[in-house]
Amino acid sequence: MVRDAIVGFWHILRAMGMTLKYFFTKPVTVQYPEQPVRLYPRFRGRHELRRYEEGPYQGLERCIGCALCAAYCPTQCIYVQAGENQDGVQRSPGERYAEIYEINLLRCMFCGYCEEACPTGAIVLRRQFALADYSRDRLIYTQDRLLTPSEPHAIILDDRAGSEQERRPGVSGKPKG
Amino acid sequence: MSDQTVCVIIDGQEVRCPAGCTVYEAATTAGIHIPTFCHHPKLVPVGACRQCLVEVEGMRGLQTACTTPVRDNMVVKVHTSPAAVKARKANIEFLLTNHPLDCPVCDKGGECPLQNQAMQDGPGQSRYVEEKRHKNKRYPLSELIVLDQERCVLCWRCIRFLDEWADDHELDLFGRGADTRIDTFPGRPLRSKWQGNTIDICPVGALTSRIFRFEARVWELTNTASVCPLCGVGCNIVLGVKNQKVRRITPRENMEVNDTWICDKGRFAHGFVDHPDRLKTPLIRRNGKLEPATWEEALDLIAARLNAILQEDGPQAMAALGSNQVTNEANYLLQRFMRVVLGTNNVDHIGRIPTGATPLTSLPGLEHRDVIVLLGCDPSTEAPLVELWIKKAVLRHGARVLVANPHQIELCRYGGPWLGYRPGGEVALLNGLVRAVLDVGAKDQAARAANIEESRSWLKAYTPERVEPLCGTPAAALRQAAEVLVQARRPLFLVGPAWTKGSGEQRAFDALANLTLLLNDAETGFVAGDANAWGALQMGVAPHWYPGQQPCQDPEIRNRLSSFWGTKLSPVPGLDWDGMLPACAQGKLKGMWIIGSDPAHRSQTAGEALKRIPFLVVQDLFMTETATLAQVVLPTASFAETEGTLTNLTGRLQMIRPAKRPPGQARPDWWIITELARRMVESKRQKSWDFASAASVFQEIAKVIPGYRGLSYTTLGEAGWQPAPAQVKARRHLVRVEADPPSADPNYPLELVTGRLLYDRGTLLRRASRIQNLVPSPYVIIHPDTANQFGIAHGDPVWLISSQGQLPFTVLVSDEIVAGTVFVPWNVSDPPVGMLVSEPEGLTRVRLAKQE
Amino acid sequence: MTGMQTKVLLRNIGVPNSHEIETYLSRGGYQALQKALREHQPAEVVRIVADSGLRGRGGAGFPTGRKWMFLPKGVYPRYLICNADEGEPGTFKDRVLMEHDPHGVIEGIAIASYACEVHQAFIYLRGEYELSYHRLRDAIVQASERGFLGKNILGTGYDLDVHIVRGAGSYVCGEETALLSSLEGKRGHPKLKPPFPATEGLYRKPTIVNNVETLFNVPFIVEHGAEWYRQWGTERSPGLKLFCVSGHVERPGTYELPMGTPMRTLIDDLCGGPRDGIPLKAIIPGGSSTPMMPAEVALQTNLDYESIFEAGSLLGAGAVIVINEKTCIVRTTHRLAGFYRHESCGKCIPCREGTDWMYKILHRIEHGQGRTEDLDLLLDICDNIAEKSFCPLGDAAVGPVRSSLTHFREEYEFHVSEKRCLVDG
Repeated sequence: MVRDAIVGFWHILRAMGMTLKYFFTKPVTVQYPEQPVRLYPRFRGRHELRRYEEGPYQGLERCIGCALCAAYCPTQCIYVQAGENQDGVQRSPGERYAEIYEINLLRCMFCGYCEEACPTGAIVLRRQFALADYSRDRLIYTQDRLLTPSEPHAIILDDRAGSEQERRPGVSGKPKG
Repeated sequence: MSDQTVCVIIDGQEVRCPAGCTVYEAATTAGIHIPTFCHHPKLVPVGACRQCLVEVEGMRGLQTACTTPVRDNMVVKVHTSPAAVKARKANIEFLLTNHPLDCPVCDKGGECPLQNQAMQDGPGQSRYVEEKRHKNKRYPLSELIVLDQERCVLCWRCIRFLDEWADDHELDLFGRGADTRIDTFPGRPLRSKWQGNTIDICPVGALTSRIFRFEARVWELTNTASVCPLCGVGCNIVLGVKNQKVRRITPRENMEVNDTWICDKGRFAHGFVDHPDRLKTPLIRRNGKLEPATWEEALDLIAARLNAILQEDGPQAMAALGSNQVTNEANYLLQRFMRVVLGTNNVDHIGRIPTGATPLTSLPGLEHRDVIVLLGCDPSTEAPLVELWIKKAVLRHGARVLVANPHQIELCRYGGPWLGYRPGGEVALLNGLVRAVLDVGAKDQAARAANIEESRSWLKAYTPERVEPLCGTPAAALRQAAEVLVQARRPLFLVGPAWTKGSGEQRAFDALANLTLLLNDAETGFVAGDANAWGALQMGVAPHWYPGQQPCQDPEIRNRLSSFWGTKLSPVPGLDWDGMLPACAQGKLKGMWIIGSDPAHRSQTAGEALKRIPFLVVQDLFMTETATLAQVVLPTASFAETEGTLTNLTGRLQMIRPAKRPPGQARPDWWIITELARRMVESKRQKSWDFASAASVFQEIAKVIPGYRGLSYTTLGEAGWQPAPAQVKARRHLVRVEADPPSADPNYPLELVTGRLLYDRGTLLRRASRIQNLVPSPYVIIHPDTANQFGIAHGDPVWLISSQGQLPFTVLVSDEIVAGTVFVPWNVSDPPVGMLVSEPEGLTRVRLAKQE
Repeated sequence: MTGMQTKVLLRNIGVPNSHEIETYLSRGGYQALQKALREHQPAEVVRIVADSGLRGRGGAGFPTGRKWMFLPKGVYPRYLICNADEGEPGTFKDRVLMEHDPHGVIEGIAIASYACEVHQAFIYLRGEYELSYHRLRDAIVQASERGFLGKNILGTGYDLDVHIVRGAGSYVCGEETALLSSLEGKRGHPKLKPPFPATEGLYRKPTIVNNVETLFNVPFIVEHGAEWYRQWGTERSPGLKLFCVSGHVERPGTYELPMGTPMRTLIDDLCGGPRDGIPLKAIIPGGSSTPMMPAEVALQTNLDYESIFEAGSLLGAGAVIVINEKTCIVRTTHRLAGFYRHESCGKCIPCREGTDWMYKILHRIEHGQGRTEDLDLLLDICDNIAEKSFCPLGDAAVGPVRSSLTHFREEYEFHVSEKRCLVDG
């Protein structure tokens, strides 16, 4: 019984030691929103629809309304309705543009498949993660909001600072086993 | 193709196939896929694209599977021959060198044979580094189709379809070699009413629909098998719906009806289904204005008012109009409601098929008729698929097409002869033909009639020369037609609704029977222009007929149905539409229920009469002219939103299925009628109105109509059910039918002829965008003699004046019409030409006056 | 020069007013027609031509008599078409005949028509041949006036009308089925074979299509007999042949030689050898569609179908194109590929897209933008066109590209690596 007490006490000491150890290490919590969050460079946040920034199509929407993102989306949270560019009013290069483009962020699981499917690089998952809102409707992002970039209050880690493996132990370059 | 079969070995697999078929067909029967571009099973093979190259043992080089006939014990290697596989791979590479690869924005993407074959047989990577050829993109060929010449692989399936089936040579190849492109002839856009089919058979996205353009990616569509409701053919179609909107209509193969084709009206005119004008809630007239109401309110009100009329004025004060456009289920329930709940036989529909008409026995059978006679019938505008089958008979088997019509129709292009006649001259024309056939023909013709000798005496008066002044048909044309008829092996007479207007049903059909009696293996078929004309008749939406065309006068049938429906059926004869109008006008009708028709639009008389009905209920898709007169308007579901059956012009029962939800509160007809009935019968008998679905209504129909026993939606399936052709008792005697003298009225010297156009401004098509751009502005066709008589020139604006009123038109002077008549298309002018017509609709006489 | 040449077919060429019927008659013209009509049944004429071993002079070398025998028995009307759409670059032999001896052509057509029991014959004439058109037209008028054409020819009861139809400038219309399409007023697309024209041709009736030179041979054969004709040429390629030589020789032109004559005789003796003494590099023996041969190989061969085939090319229409050392083979091929790209009718994919692609690659190489892999790519494209195309035009387009790459690859490689021409320096 005495032995049990000693062993028990030893365990308590060990646990307390652990606590004590973190007492002296730098805290992982961030005082968001006062302080920025540290984000990995490949972090996938809220979607954005991009425009051409230079070249002959400068200023035009990249999205051509092909709906391949919607086809690829595993949660079917994207709705696209295409329209035809009329002569003189060109919204995107070529004949077709997205008349309606909506993403239901309540359903989205940020897998990034839409980005992968996009033939023009129009839809990208950027770093904005602060998506809380006051109504469900507001979380169905419409085209005008998707076309407006928004940057999070964050520090983006440099990809070159360390290898991917160290940061995200779950992901390994080598096949398992 | 002979009946012999041969054995071919394809990729090591033994295949039995009929001798004379091609390697491609043999492989297809064995389930071995050979890719093709230019080859299409419905077109004559040309062997141009080289995509189907296969290796045949013993033959030098590679062979095109689509053109190589099989021989017994032939050994073919499709996927096992390295040379053939390489050739096909190279061919795909060749094609893709100049293909723009804009699949993401291409409407064909997802169902594109080029995409599929590039994935299946293509090299995966191109070695082509030069700039691609540039040709026209977004190049409209017509109001309905846009061409992308860069995507085109020049298989010319489109050209060949238009040549081989539609006989409209409006597309061709221009330029040479690498610069070859498909185009229309300069200044002549595509006008064919079959052009939409080229979109389906295009193996790439070169030809795309301007109506479906960018509406949806094909994989987003929910496809529902249905039937086209726009004419009597009942083409089998597929409705493609995305987000509760019909985006496109494509054909569905049914060899008994439409092969794989549909006309452009059926394909492109679906805009009305989702039009914002659709009625979305029931409307009740309050303080003279129609205001939205709930179903409860509307149905309670109707039930209360009908009960009140029943109490005060009795059952005969109520009437109902069914429709030849709505389903069998709705029509059946309507007459059941009128007969069982209200106890009256006052039920009819407009455009009822004339008594004595028989349905066409078979559509594909048209192909094997050597002489086709069109009597007051223009298949090109009234039932386009019939035209396609006729063209097949003409183009592939050299059939002759005789046309009896007051004006020249499209099918006159096959040399006719055209037998132009004045309305009212039908009997004279047929008697003239009988006489001419007897004159021209040998003894064979005469021998068919038992009473030929006594008939000769009354037929004396009908020599072609004497007939000419009676009906306006030139004697030479009559003789020419008689010669064709005498030679005919299997003539077919197609009768249109216009045929019986002038001379009356009985006489027109008797005169026709006289003619067919003299001919070899002749058949007569009625070409109904509306989707469910036969169905409405079959369902008993007629005052003298119970369902299944069982006569109401027959007490035995009445008793049987009385016990089946659990009520005592009224023996009082009902009013037909022609009888309802005076009854309305005289104030005898207190309540009326109109489903799916717009009589006020058809004639001014009808509109005036309906205004006098104290309680009018209209059930329709849109706010029609009749609906504006109603006390209660009920919104109903369109063909795309309801389940039910339609009976086509061969009597074939086919199912329509709901592809989307009706807009707003709109409900299917069967639901509305059932709900109303349940409000009006006492509670213990409500069980007999316990229809839970259209299927349960059809179950009852199958019990009531003797010929339908055992049918259900399951047995109808996708292809429908074809009744056995009715046994028409062959007559052996000529019946004496005398022609009327030509009518005359010095004030109104001209006969008005109306006819449908394929595209018009009717209730539905008015709401189909783009189609409207194809509707001509209102015109009247007059004969040059008439033009001289009235001093009017081509292009003049005129008034067309009848005893009912006058309407403005532009004059087209043409000798393609019989002198003394004028032609005006239906549903093109606004106000409609019906304004000039008086009901009951017989002949309308008019005169012309120049507009100042 | 003339001493070395046999002058049978060309006997009237160079005679003043050779195109007039008087001249022709004075030199024994229309004797063969009279003989055929008066002394022979149609089948006998067919037999004589078959025995002579005459082979089609249009390029394919198919035995003429055998072709005539393919006509199905008892199917009338039949048509005969004289293929005068001499479109192959390098050929001008038919033109010489039509311009200077049009009555010989007409007589040949008449005898062939009689043999094939044809009453309507057509001359499908190359659109650009203005003088030929006028000469032939006048010849038909003259012949009709003298009773050699028209109703009841020479009182024998045989009727024949000859019509001239002018082409619209498409090379592929020299291919017999495309010619038929064009003649029917349709787009000049080749048609599926079978049915062959002999069984189902013009207006879906049995039709014989023969080259001008082929028909031109017929009167001689009928007049002198098959054995006489076989005194020239080899066992399998008997008779006389016209050769039209163009390019770098001293005296280019049309020459008549017995089949089997050594190429060297033609080039060195008749044509006076290489122009300006510049050594020869390559010879295209049968018109632009036939494979190019290195000059030293070509000069060792004999001018008959078999010998040239063994040496790796084709006799074709006998249009010998001579190319000397100063000529860039890449540019030559580029030109030829351009011709075939332009003349492809567009019906089948391999030819339409393949010729376009080959031309674009050669254009790049010619303009110093070639890549090393382009040479093998070109050969692969050739493989993918050859024998895959709908009609022989695909094979024709491949001929010069493949042969030049085989025999003169170093020139291409120089173009690719040095970005300039080996010859021009």
